[in-house]
Amino acid sequence: MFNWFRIDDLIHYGPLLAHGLSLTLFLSLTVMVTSLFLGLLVAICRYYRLVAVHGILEGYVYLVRSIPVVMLIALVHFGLLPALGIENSFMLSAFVGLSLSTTAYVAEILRGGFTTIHQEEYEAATSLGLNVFQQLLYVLVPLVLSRMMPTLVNQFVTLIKDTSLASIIGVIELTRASEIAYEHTMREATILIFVALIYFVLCYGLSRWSRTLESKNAKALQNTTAG
Amino acid sequence: MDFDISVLLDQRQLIAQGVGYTLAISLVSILLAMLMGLLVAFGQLNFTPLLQWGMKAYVQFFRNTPLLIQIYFFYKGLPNLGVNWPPEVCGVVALFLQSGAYMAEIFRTGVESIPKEQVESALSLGFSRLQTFVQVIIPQAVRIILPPLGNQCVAVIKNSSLVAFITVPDLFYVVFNGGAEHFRYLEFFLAGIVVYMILTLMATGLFRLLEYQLSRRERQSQEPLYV
Repeated sequence: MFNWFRIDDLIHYGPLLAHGLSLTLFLSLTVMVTSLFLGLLVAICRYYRLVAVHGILEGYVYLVRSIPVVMLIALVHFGLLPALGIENSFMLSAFVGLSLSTTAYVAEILRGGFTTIHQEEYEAATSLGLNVFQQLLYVLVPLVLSRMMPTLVNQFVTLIKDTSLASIIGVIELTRASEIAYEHTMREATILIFVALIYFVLCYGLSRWSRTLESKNAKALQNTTAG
Repeated sequence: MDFDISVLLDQRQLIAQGVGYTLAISLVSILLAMLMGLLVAFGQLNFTPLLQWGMKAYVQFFRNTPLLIQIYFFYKGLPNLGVNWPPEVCGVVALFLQSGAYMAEIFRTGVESIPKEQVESALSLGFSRLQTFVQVIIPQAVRIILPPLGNQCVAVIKNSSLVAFITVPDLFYVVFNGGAEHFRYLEFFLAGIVVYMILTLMATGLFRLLEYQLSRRERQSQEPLYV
């Protein structure tokens, strides 16, 4: 009963798990950067009410938010990419699937961020003689990003957890690496607990950081309203 | 690219069964998660420091590790420790523990968001602690709690798709395997997307209705009293 925990399992499969962890991190980071960029575009389109795209984007965000992420990844891997003639590209499928879902959430977060922009802030940007692109680049986007930073970090935490779903299409990230490890040892509990701890350290650290950012934001807001 | 819907009609019984599994697992998980969330939230608000720390650890651990790892732990890890549960039970336990952690945070922040003055004034008016809680805090907290609670319920419905990977024949399992068997991923995934959208739409609609009912009662009670 008590022979389920073996420290040598961890030593033996350490390199494999480390490789998995590096893929998890790589996938999370690339997806986050892509989603931030695309999500910002979506949010800006919706902020300026570009009527032609507004409806489509709203539909996209709604669709993605109401189906499971794992469904999206599987759909991309088995349905969409093969239809485009790309087969067996696990990393690409995981990247596209996760980006599609994260973009929708990031777009919603940033859209919320744009609603916090006061009329005065917008007018100040306009009265400085900035054109639309300069307004966005120098005033609105930095404001929105700094205000929404805590929520975005939380979304990043969700994304790190969601990368575990890439294991189902065969990307050897942390979860799949752990599966390979325990399929050999048959001591699943040891490795699963260890891997859960790795995820926990990553995600808990980030959510603590998010909370610090939040209190900083709250303080900054207090200062501006007081001053 | 041919698109053949008839293959779905042949499989309609299996799909209906899958929907049944998804609904049953989600409902049971949501109910248990609400109970768990309530227990932990009140535990965190009331009990001794050691218990509070334990509950906080539970919440943070389940919030910051991937659900897939949790589900695998109950299904593949626990047999190492001599505990063998059927896959449905493993799925429900993992789902309700995970979303219970989220719900605990929702309940706790909801109750904490009621200003201290409310409690103090109720106590000074001669309300007992229980009366204060039931008649002053709960009616106000419910309206803050409902929207995030609705989101969490939708998340449970979506997350329940992960039980497919521990061989529970839920909607995602049927769609995934049906697609693989007939090599008609697009048709099966489309069916899955539609059903998941209907399910999540129903859940959000239900919560909207609840919110509306509550706010109507609020509106009525805010009518001026002519004495």
